[in-house]
Amino acid sequence: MEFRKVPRSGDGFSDRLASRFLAICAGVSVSLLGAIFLVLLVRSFPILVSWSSLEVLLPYAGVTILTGALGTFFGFGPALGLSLYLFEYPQSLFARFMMRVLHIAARVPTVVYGFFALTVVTPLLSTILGDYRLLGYNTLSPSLATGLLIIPLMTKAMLESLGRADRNLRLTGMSLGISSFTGLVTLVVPAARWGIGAGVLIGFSRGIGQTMISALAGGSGEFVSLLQPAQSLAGFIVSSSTGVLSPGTPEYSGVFFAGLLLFTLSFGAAAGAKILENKE
Amino acid sequence: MTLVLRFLGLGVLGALLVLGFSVVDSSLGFVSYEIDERVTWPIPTSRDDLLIGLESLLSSEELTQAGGFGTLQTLSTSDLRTLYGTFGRAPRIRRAWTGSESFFSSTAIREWHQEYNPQGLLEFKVWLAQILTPQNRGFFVLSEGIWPAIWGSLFILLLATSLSFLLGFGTGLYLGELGQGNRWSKFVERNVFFLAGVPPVVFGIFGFALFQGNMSLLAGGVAVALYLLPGAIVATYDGIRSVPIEIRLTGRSLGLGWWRVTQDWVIPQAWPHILSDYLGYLVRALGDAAALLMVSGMVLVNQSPRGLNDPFTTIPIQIFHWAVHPEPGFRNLAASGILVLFIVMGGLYSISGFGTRKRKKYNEF
Repeated sequence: MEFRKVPRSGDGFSDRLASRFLAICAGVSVSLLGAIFLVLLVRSFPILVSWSSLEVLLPYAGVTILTGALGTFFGFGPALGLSLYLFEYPQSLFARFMMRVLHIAARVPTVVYGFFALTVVTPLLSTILGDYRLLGYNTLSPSLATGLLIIPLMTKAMLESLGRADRNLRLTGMSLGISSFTGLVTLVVPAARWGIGAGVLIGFSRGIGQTMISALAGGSGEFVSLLQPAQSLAGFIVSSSTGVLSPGTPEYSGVFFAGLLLFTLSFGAAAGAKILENKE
Repeated sequence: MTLVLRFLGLGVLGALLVLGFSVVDSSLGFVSYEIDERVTWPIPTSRDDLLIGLESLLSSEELTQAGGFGTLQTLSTSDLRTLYGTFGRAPRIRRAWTGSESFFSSTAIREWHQEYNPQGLLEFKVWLAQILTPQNRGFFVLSEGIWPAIWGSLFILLLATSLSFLLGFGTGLYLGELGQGNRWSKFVERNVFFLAGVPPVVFGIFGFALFQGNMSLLAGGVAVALYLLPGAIVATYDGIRSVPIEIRLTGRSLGLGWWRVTQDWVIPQAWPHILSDYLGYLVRALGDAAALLMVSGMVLVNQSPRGLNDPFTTIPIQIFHWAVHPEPGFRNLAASGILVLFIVMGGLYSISGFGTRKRKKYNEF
């Protein structure tokens, strides 16, 4: 829909005033991202210059990345399968039903997934694994819940990229005699590979950014194994905000550093997704 | 192969169903109390009953500790209820069961109760009813309520909208109407994309830094306003884009100025679309706890906010508090809090359909 080329000649005073105001709005909105980054950077400066505090905090970032990556790993298969199914049979009863289900699931708050991880996934895991060391908090169940959380998001991104893939490619394949499904798997999916990769990165970005799941079901302590409690950045933020944070203490700057890390990580993943999308 | 895909879908569906079931399941069930004979339970609602009850309950030392009987009369009714609960040795919960356990193994539950808590009381409790009782706003498990959190959530959304909607609307309008695909508008678009991807907890940390750790309604409003800003921009942009070019061209050909056309023709046409999309983002902000984690903090709040400087709590934050509590009963509270959250979100979401003339389609999510 092309509407941008409406002529702008003969602007009166109110036109110029309004456009000036809108431009200022856009400027303020843009500056906010930079402002957030700068504030986080300045406030976490005391941490950035001392290696000993960094050493404490970086393992938490590792746990966060691990949770996000495992969540993406668990969510990838179902998301790809669902998007293929929804792409292939968009009108079928099951597809339309799943659309609605995903529509709702995308709006379920993260704290609910956290509750799910804590009260359903963890007991289920300890029953299945028969591992009584799995006392309540661990890294595996937040990862599983994160996987469930990002499935709608990844499915949506993948479905869009499949829709953007070249239609003629598949028709050519079908005219050469391959089945519709083979065409989907061997022609459409490879054509949409960058978009699928972008979907994975978007999911990863969200998986890192989720806070409540890790805070509720992750527990605290040093990372030993997937089945034992380990502190993530989210858990660190929550546990330091329970006490009174006074400026100058390592916890105070640590919270900002944790925010900075989360910001940079999810920013990086989102930027990667954008690059992959443009590559398509 | 199709079958495999369908099974994957069913797996996801199954996990979501288990999630929903576990929430409903935990929101009601048997509870085994330890009872103190001196306490009349449930906590009386009338002020006189509370005062009489407290007078007989508290020993003279405890009465002094609470500030004497004269002080008791100056306290508000909800504070008296809290006092009654804490000093009055309210029934302690020994164990709480989920709804399905209560239904399928009630004999085992009764046997457990007979063996471990014979003096106590076994009762089937609907936790949702407890937290929705307006008088319940105490700090212990049997008098926890959700109303302060509901009001807090609504106030936060109102405040955040009034702080950021105009800014987002202006930016969206700029991108849709003025940014003629130039470099600057592309930069703005990219920025909005990244702002939408910032983890909500970072907004909370930013608000925390901005207000020097002062945990007030205003700080929460600012954090959620930042969270909502990309939503407002995208909603406006999409709404403006949905208005056909002919409207603008017709207006301009009649000799109207750009702003006159936009103000009188384009915005009114786009408005229902904008409003409905924005309400969708509001629903998302309503359910988000992370943005408010640092600004509402871990402070326990039992009152609705009355001013911008008041501490506040929201429904997801309250759920979080309940869910982390290890004592029996709190997970049931969290589950019923989630039900309340779903009800409020659903109510807000259903409003968003009224704005648009067409019925909302579900083919995108």
